[in-house]
Amino acid sequence: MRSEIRIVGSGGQGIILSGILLTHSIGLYEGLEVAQTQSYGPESRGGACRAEVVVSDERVDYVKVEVPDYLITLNEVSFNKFIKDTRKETIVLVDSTFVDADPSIHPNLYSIPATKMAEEQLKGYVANMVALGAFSKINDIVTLDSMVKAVKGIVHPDFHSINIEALYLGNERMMS
Amino acid sequence: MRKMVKVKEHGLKILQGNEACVEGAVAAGCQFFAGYPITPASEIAEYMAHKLPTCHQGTFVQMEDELASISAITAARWGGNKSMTATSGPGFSLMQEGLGYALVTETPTVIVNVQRGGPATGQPTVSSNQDIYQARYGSHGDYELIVLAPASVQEMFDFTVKAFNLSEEFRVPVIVLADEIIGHMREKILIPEEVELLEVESPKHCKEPYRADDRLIPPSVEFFQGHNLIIDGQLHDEKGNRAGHDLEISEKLVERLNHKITQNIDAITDIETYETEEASIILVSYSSVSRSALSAVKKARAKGVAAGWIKVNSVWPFPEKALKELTASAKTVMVPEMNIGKYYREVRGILPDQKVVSVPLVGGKLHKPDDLLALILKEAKACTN
Repeated sequence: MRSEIRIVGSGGQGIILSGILLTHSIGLYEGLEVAQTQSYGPESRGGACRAEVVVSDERVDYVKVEVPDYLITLNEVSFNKFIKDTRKETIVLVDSTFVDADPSIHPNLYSIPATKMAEEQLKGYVANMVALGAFSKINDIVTLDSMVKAVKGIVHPDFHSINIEALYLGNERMMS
Repeated sequence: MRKMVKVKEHGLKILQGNEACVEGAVAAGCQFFAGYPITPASEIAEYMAHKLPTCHQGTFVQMEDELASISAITAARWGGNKSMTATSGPGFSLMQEGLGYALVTETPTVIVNVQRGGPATGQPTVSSNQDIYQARYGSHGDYELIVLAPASVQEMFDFTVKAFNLSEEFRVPVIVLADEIIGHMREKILIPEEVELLEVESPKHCKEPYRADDRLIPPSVEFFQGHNLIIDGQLHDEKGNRAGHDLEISEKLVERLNHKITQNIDAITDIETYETEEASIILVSYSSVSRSALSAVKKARAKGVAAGWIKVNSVWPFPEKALKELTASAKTVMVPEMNIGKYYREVRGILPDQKVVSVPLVGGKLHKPDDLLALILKEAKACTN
């Protein structure tokens, strides 16, 4: 089994942290092998930013994404750029605050207004966590429970509650 | 003497390659780090600055440049501390003079080069294997040294520990030749409860610090132990006295500096293989590219092609004998690497009767398994026709 996750957006939206959080969730709490890479240049501080997580039940050989099984996009520029590199089975999640995606463009398109929800309901910059909470409902690799554990493992304690609330918020919204 | 030493922060973790390198260094007993930050190696300095003084009573110094860094780690080892620096291509270029000094003074120390694209300032944020020759031939004069090429976060830890042990065993600088992908990638890593460390016993009141044993290795000595030591960059006799004018003594020293590595190559060589027995096409790979190569070989096997995989962990000294033996069954040997095709030349040189194919990629691209697979299938078809 090999599964590939690509998270894209603008530098500053928490793309890299999302990749790191998924890596900890999957590697430590789902018991799978995992390799995470990311864009590293000035784009990670603004511009098009990317994090990739490759998951396998055996040691990951090729460490980069070939064709993603999951694509999470938090802004329009990255959506337009990376939607081309998907296949019809790819599950695509978009932040509809910024991405005005026509549902007919892809058969497995899910959307959630992650940034709007984070700002209005949590008053914080946690749109990435809202999106990951939603992602926990539409993938078969990583659970919400593992993500919550990973938040406690890597996020400063002062910010545990808002990040965990954001995960639940996204998860519940995707359920309804 | 080999001794099991407890590792403070052991356990299953997710770490970046550069962080794993630091964990390996402190587990190996590194007490001194001198460096100058450079992408994509900066996390090593950053993490060392945090860990070394606080957790291990060691010393971290941010130097004014790379020339000073390598000089400081060489001096620190003579002062009695295991030492390390970390850099990337441009900084590694600046270290070459000091590396030569560490080589001729037979100083055990570790240099990590997290490769980026070159030449010159080149590509700070992307990966390459372009320093494969610089790591071997960068300094002037005739010498041999040891270069290890990790391909995972776990290997960043393991090979750093190993680099310290090899440097102590052979009294030589050892280079950990990583790359941006490995340095910045996060993976699962199991830091063991104990690591095996080599502790070479020092003689009492040594008067000939460069008099080698029958493996051609001089004694393990350092300052402040009552030895008669002269540390100098010029060629010297067994006492350390300058002897560049004496052609016989100079010949003996230069030969020994080379032979202490080449004659002990079996103890240094570290190679992994997959399905090489009776394989007709074998990929010889190293560093992060080896993982693309393994993926391609597995895909080729699934299609019924007798493909095999070799991953060279100890890229220098060049493991000629082992590679000849392991590739004996192959009609075609392919060498994928993230440079213009350098290690290929070495492999081609030792396999005159086999078809050796270079698969270079420059500009920062990592070989995709499907592209390598296509080349394997093409070769397989050519073999059957």
